[in-house]
Amino acid sequence: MQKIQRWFAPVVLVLLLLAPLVTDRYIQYVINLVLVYAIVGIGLNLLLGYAGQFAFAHAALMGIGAYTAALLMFRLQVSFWIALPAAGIVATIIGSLGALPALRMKRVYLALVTLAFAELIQWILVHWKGLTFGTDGVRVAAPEFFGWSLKGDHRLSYLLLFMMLLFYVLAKRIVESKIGRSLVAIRENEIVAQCNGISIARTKGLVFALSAFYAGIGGALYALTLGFIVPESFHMFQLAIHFSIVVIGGLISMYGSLLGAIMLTMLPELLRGFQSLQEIIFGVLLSVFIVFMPAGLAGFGKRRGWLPDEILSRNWRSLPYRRDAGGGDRGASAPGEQSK
Amino acid sequence: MDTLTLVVAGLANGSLYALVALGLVLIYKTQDVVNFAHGEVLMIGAFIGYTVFQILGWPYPVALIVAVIACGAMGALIERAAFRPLAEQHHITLAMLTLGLSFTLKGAARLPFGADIYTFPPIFGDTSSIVIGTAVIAPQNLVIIGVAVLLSLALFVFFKAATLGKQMRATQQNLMGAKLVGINTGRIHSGMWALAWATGGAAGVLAAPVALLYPDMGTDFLLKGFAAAVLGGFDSVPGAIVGALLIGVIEILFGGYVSTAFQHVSAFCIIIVVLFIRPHGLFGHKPTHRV
Amino acid sequence: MYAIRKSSPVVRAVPRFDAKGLLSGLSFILAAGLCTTAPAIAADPGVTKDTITIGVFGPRTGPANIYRLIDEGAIAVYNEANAAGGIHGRKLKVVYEDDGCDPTKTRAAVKKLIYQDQVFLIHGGNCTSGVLAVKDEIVENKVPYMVMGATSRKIAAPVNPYIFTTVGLGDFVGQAMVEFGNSVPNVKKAVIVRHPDEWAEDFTKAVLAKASPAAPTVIEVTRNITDATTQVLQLKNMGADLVYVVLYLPESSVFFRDALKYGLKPVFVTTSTTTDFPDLAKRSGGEAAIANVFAVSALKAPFGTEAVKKDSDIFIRNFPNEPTMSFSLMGMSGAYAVVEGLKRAGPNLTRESYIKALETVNGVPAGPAACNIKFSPTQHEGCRDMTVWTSVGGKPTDIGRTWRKKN
Repeated sequence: MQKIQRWFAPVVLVLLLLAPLVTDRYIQYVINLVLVYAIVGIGLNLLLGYAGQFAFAHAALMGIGAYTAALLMFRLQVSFWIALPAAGIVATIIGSLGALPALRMKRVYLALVTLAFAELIQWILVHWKGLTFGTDGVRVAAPEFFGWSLKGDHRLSYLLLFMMLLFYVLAKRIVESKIGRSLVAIRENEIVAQCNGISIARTKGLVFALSAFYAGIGGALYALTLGFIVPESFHMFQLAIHFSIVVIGGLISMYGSLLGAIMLTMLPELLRGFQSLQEIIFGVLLSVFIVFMPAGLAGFGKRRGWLPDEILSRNWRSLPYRRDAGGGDRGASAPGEQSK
Repeated sequence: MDTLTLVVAGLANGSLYALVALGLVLIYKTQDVVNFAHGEVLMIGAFIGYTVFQILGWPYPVALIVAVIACGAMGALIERAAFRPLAEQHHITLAMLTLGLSFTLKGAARLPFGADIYTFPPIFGDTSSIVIGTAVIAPQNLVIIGVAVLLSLALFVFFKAATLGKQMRATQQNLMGAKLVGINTGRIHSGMWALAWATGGAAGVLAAPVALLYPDMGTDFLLKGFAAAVLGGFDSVPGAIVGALLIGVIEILFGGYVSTAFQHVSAFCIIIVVLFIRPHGLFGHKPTHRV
Repeated sequence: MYAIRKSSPVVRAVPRFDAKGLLSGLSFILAAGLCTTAPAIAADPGVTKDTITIGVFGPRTGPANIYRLIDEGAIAVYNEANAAGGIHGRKLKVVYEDDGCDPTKTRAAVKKLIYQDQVFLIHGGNCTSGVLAVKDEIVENKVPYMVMGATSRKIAAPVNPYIFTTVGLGDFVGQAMVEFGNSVPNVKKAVIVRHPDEWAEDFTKAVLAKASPAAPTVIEVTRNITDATTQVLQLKNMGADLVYVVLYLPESSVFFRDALKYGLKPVFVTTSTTTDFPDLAKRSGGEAAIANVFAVSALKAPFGTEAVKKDSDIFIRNFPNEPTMSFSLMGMSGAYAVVEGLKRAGPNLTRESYIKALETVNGVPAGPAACNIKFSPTQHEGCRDMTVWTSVGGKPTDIGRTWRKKN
């Protein structure tokens, strides 16, 4: 068993690199979407899972990234290789500005402020026609890589695969560093974290910025995968998908987001045959998954010993979230609420 | 532009938001869950109202009662079946479950009702609007405001006076303590969900003659109700009602005097400003930390 | 109680390498990819000795799913063609993919039609943003494409060799609206009430370009409103006596309901979405609400009436359980065009011969649509004729293209 697992990784990686040679463009497009959503999901997991911040602006930030890249390329003929990091940076800047008020808030208040922020961004994307072309949308051309055009789903997949691996490793490094532990400490109990010398504002600000960066990059790659973007693509439904990816895949798990991205992208495609029943089946499956695997696919796999353990990612059940145990982020505020 | 006309219409919208907000706050206070399926509760209430009033031909008040009872029962059932076993899970997981529920309910509603956009006939037939000076007031708006006020009062009395209501408050404030004094907290949670869903159902029947009936009709109500609840302070029932009325009136004044394009987002802009100054809403309590 | 626990995950050390987990995830993707690989594309896919495969895509899920009626109208026409013996001995086989009117899904649906279902031609698309997201894919693969219901002119203009449309495009409907509006006597203040989306954009541009009195004010209506008090009161304040209404059906009924409530009585000129007058009257609070509504229609007559009896019956025969609205007829003109093109292309059917044949279509009746289909190598927008309806005694009545006083 051990031996199989050791060979498994490199073989699969090689196969994945070769996959574009055998897939048709429909399958490859779906795989590409999975890779893009994995990046977005990892970014959101940092914020939602590791830092425990209930924020709703991720789809809007993804939209900012997508629009930044698309508009830079379309309006200013900037190369994609400059537009891509620019998308990440612009999303980070706007995300951090949006996060400023959010640093003071918790839970539903944070949720609503970020939701309001997302609505505003959506409004701007639709109404600032001089910049964004409004609902007309923007077409995104395929970039070139040293004279080799990345046109078509197969060629694009190599870029996406590389980016996904890069951002996966990056996120893993961050989580394993002091920052990751600070995040979890803050999530567990802000006051204790503060007493241990962790700057709450700085750490929270950092994770907001970081997750915005992931959303921005994901957005730019999404624009590339689709080839055409409209503001509507970055509204509520997109956000619901992001949340589903992170929770179905497993909060506080790096490969969980990837598993979630696979689930949430493949499932609707596999359900196609059910026609008008798809929606209800999708909803029921989503609910059933959560009821029976509340720790997500990753948590489920880990408990069965199918998947390896990860840093900072113990089963939620063992975390001090039980309200009557008085711990966790609810616990921190619960005693105060009693006094009213 | 007549300000009184605008304000009355705004109060009517606000009353609907208030009923949605109430349901959200009730569930949040007991179980720490933001119910993202609450828009769908309203939708189901509206369709039950439609079935009873339009298809069966029973009177409007009966439709209201049937919807309230049916939605309440559904709420209790769903709490028992799905949420109680997961009570100790992370709040984000629970919120996701409500999202899954929302997809399911919308999908289910599409099977019988997805083919069309349904309209509830005006309850007052062709009764024309009431005119006071320059102000024009629609009778349905008065019904909405009236029923919303009555329901809020009933809830208020229930929580203050009835034993069950007191037990519910006790459970909200201290789960362990409530268990210790012998309250069946599981049943209390079911009851709370039933209450929340019942108000949602009532909101649906009230909204039906004003709004149009289709499976996605709840989304905007949920957004506004959520905004209202947060504006008021999510742990405060009166706060939610005040917040909802404020949002209803403010957005319509914005639309009337500034720009209709900005009407929908104006509420959100104001909330950002308010929360920047008061991070726990207008009536919310700033939690005191104990370490 | 609140101190960090000994076993707290914060300080827990865990093995570092987890690429196995990552890769076992990736292998999922791969497995799925390998399982469904399709063979390389033949010269002209989708045609066999006895079948022609037609790909249809449209929303069966999501908020836009009511537009499926448009697709079903088209499918009904194809079924009828089969019942009549097929085309040159070949039966039409329809493959229907859901796109939920979401560009991401539309792209998947169209890729599936082209690369897996191997269709001969595509007839679909009811939402402009989705169609624009797949235009490159269709053109690149040289798949003949007939637009189903999307009204943006950007889809078919400038002329593209593979893209044809028989839809009442926003531009043309907008022009008909403004032509009618300009013929209304004694107009002092004209206003456009619109949604802030790409659908309303075309109509608005067309109206703005030619309106007289010039430069009408534009008022926005957010999607999914349940209350149009502010818009109606603003219109009253401006003293508007001609209002171009570019709203979807639900919002239109909310708007007309509130207009009735607050006593706003200008002339309303609307798009084809509000041509089901009895239905609109029911939704908006009675006949009085729509007394002044004039709708530009791409259809000859409302569903079920004498002029479109044959096509209405076709729809009911094929989809007995579906509602019958204008939508049910809107996809038919495209289907008739496709059938005509396939017939003219003859037994030696290729994509090239089909497109050539389609370009010779000149003046073929378009079923329930108010036009005769005219294509040419430089003209792929086949339907330009519109007509105006208004409600007379509760019945939609065709009054031609210019203002006529109602009695």
